Formats: sequence, C-alpha cells, structure tokens
Amino acid sequence: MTDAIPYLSGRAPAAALTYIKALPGNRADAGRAADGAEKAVEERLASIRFYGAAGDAFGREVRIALPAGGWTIGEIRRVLSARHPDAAVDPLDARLRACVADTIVDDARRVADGEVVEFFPPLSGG
Amino acid sequence: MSVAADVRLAEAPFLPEQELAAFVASLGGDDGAVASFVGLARPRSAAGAPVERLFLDHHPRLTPRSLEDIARDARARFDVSAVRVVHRCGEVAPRAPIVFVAAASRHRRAAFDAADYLMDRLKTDAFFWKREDGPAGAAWIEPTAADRDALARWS
Repeated sequence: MTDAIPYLSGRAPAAALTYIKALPGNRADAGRAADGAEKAVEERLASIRFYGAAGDAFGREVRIALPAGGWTIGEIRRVLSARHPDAAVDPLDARLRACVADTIVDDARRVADGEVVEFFPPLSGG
Repeated sequence: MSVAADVRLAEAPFLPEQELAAFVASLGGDDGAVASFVGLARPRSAAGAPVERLFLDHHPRLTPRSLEDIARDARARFDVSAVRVVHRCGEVAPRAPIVFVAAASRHRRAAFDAADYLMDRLKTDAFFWKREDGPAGAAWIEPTAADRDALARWS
C-alpha cells in the first residue's frame, strides 16, 4: 500500500485518469487513435465488475486500460477513489472485497491482461 | 440411502405450490415428513416505507454455489432424505415469492429443523445483494441483528 507508483499518489492521479479514459464509454475515442501508443494502451484492458451498491455507485462494469506491468487491486481502488470522490461506496473500504477468478484477493494482487476484477460489498443474504 | 438436493436460482417468478408438489412427487418411499417454507417479498421496509420492488443482485457463479453449499450443509447436518431450495434473483414484486425451501425425512423433527436451518443460513450467507426501491428512493440492505442471532442458534 505504498505510493510506489508516482501517478497514483496524491489527490489527483492525472496519468492514471488518462489510462482510465479508455473505458467503455470512451472506446470510440480510443478506436479513432491511429498511433501505436494509444492502440497498445487499448489492448491492455482489464474489466471491473461491481455488484450491489457498488454497481449503482460505479456502474455495473467498466474497463480500464492497464499500464505496463498491470495494476494492483490497491491501485485500482485508489484510481476509483480519485475518479469518484463522492461515490456512495468508498472504494478504499476494506468491506468492499475484491475478487479475481472467483477467489477473494487482497490489495497486493496484481491484475494481468484480460483479467476480470469483481468488487463485492457486504452481502445482504437472501 | 441417497440424499438428494435440488437447488435453483430463479430469474422469473415461481409458484411455491408447484415446487412443493414436485418435491413431494420426487420423494422415495421411506419419507414420512415434509416441511416447507415460503418467503414473500415484503411491501414495506423495516422502517415502514413502501417498497415498490425488491432487486436481488447476484453473481453468476458464486450465488448458485452459495445455495448449493447451504443445501449440502443441511443435508449433512440433519437426517433428511432430500432438500429443495428455490431462490429468486432480479426484480421481485411485493408479496411475490422470493424463496422456497423444503426438506423431507422419515420423521418430522429433522424436516422442520432442516427447513429452519436452511432459511437461517440463506438469510445471512446466500450470495445476494438486496435493494429496496420505493417512492423515497433505493436502499441497499444488509442482514439484521435478528438474522445473525437466528444463525447463531446453529453454531
């Protein structure tokens, strides 16, 4: 949970937000980019799915472009927090559990190309 | 003796009477008791506000798995020959059935206990997120202290 990646530290991780601009709603922009650099960014995508209250707060599914080497779950939380400072669900709240491949993972888990990250708020039960 | 469990996540409304009839019809010859329970979506929230609909968000794999785990635990814990769990997901109208459980056994106590246990586990451990939508807005809800106390009876 250290700020090893400079653009993720502080209040406004501008570079991180540049990456996250390649979200589904903005994919047309990414598709128009002819240069190789943007195309490479577009190809390193991870999907993030949100359930329950988190789905209402962040959208049911978003895609983020990963920097080289991927992001950790903790870094994704911080990007979400910066992007949604007023969200009803706090992405940094440990009760919002992260899950990859149907397994709960901790914040140090690095997300690779093509992986799906799911965030689960506390269960309601049936 | 083989022990059967039938678990279904229902995306559409279901009829509890049909579930019960099918369950009874599926039983073997040694059963002497069937206990069942039907849960209905409440038209009012715990605070008394009108609820226009209930939304049960679910996970495509982990929610069915949680229902199967709970049914398996009930089978292992009680002397039952069969259990059935049907649970709605998606949008549920007020007063519509949201859950059906049934258990069968040679004698009634095991069937009653298994159905009771199934419901207590489902209320806290089933993999759902529940939202009540009403005129005043939407509210996500979590298990109550009463739900947790009910579950604690089995520990």
